[in-house]
Amino acid sequence: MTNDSTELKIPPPALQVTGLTKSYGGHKILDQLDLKLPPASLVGLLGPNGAGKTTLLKALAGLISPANGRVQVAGYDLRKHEAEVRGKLAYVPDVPHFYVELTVLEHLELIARAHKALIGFEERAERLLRRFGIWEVRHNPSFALSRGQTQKLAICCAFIRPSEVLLLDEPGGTLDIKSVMRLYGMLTDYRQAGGLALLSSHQWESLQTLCDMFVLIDQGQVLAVGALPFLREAASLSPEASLREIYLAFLEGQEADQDDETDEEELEEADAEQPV
Amino acid sequence: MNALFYLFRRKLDYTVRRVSVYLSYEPDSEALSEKFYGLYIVLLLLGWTIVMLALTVSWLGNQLAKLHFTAAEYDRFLFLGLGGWLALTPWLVYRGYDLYKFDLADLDFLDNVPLSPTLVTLGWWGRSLFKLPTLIFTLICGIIASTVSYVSGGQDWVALGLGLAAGAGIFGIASGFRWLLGLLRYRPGPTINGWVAYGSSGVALGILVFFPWARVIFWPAALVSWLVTEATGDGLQWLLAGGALAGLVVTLLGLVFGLYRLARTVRLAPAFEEGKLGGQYRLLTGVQAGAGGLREEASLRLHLGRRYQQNQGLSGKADGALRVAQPKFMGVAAALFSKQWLRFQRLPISQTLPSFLILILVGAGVAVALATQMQAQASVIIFIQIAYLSNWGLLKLGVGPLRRELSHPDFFVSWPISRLRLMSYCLIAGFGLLLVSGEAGLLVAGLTGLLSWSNMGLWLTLWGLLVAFDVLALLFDFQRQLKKWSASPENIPNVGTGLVLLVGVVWLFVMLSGLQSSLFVAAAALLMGYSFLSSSRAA
Repeated sequence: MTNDSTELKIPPPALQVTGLTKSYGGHKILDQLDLKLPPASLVGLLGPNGAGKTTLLKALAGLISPANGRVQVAGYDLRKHEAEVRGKLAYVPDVPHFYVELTVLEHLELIARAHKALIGFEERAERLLRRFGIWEVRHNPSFALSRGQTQKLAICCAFIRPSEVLLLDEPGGTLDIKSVMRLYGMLTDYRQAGGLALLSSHQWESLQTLCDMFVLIDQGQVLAVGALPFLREAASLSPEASLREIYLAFLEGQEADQDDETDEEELEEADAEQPV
Repeated sequence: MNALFYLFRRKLDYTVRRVSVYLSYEPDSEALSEKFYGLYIVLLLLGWTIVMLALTVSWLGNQLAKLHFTAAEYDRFLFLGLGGWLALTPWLVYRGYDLYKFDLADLDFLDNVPLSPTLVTLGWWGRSLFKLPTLIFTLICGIIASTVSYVSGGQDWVALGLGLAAGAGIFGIASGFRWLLGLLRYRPGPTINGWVAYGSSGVALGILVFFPWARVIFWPAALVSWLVTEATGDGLQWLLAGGALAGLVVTLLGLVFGLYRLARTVRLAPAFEEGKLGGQYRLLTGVQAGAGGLREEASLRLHLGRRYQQNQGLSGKADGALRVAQPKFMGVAAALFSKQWLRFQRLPISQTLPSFLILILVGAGVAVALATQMQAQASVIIFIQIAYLSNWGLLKLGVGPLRRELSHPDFFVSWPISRLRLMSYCLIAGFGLLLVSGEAGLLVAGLTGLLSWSNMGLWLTLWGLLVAFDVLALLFDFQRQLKKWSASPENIPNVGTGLVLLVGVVWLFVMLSGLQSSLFVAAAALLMGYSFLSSSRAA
């Protein structure tokens, strides 16, 4: 007999995706995608342009409805427990859209108010805005910000509220190097506090040192998931191989597989057309 | 100069191609059949214009003949109208913004092709005259001239020509005058401030109405009003008409000369700065308004952008102090309310007032029309019209806050509540005033005897139920549409004809079921809608 109080409880994965499928115009952007990510980790989402990274992040954020599949955040199903999931999940889009009528500081206040996180708001907001160098423009309307400042505000909006899973879509694309380093510092703190951050980016060198795990996707499917040593081994590469080399090895493997399949199909077709 | 001609030729080409697309005409084709088709289109349009003009003039003439006004009286009305337009020009200039109305592409062009301010000013002033308002105004002047001549037995076709010429002349003069004063803003030195603008417009209006020699001071208005209303009355005075037209031309040339001289001292940088904000506004209203219905957002952005350029805070104060604190007032509803309140404070009154008036009028109008027609047991045809038109208005107006919220998709994710609940909050904000104004309208109709007071409880409940059904139908429809949405602000879901028809059918059933059972039918429809919504959510 086991005692309930002493039973070892395994916490649910911070993010679990099962059979996620999304199509646009008959073309599958996400194809039966499965993924399971633990809490307290920084995960890099990698893939070529058009691989489905943004669509995956949008689907995880509940911004678009997948045709099939299931998304669970900290054990809560996005479809059944939407409110709980939205309370635990923060999202930084690649192109943020802010309210015309609100200033920088008011955007932060709005998010904090909605998430009932106004205790100590002034200090937190000032610290965040100063950290990203947009304290001086805190009373400016959002449309008067530069592209980089807009991205910084989107990041600040995600950090001003409590969350357990943070999705970032190419957050460093328009940021200066100082702000990128500060963002990575904040993400490290976020991991230490038990959060899972999943970020898509093309800044390979930085990701290699920052992230614990990587998710490689292409054509809407996961090619590989794991830490760097595991991926090196899976790709049969030397222990010194960089993330870029691993990524290219996986992509080439995928293309070779596709070529083989195409060749086999062509051969079969040719055989079928041969006169007996 | 060549670059400017090149730019305008490209714009003209673009306009021709746009018109050609509408007419399915291929201007580059060498085929003879295509040329014949072009000729046929031109003749058809010309013939149609002449017939429509003749019909308009004769119909309008018959209506005006009933009023028994003399040509001199028409002359006075027109003179006061046109003179008032000229008198208000300083005020218009003070309130105006982005005089040049550059397109964003124009700004890129002018950055790369340095043209003199004089050339840019004269070029863009000339371009501003070739717009739809000029055509409409000129046409109206022509029709008025022709109609007055038709009523007084003159030569209405000659009057049409004179009216068109006079209309084009006064439009050019008023525009030139506005540009002359407007250019002061872009040159170093004193500009027209509020006191000068309101004062000079007030004095000019006073002179126009009370001063005996007002016609001398406002001579362009006097010449045009005479040309339009009296030149071809009982007998054509060719010499006087020619003199009047010459007077207009000389005035116009004088203004062009004034613009030429003033433009030499103009700095284009502030005009470019305003043009950038104005260009973005025109782009948003032109491109996104059709797709996303975000005209209001574009107007708000222009308004706040102007404040920002003038170093004013969004609320009109230089620095918006942090208002936070009050941690008790928290949660999504509180956040949405505080955002809405800030928005309300920052919207220009010219935008808030018409929006509120429309909501109140539509809410009250639909509720009263519905109740009075049901009380009078009107025909099915009337009911169908009420059901369709009312819901078209109600649904389009009520869905506004929800569509605005959807235009910020990433924020739509950030609210820690379900999508359905957030949509409900937005729709409550959208339909709240419609509901209240409808109830108020019904009460007023009851007090004035338009509706039977004994059934007032029934009307008030029925209106509430029908509005609630509209909200429910929208929730159901948007939940369905959002499943296919790509979360892009460019293709936000909207109210479709199918939904309007569906809701209209339910309203029609309610209206046809009679006074007593209408409540039951409406309540049943509401329950059924709720059940559909719940089952679709579970699925």
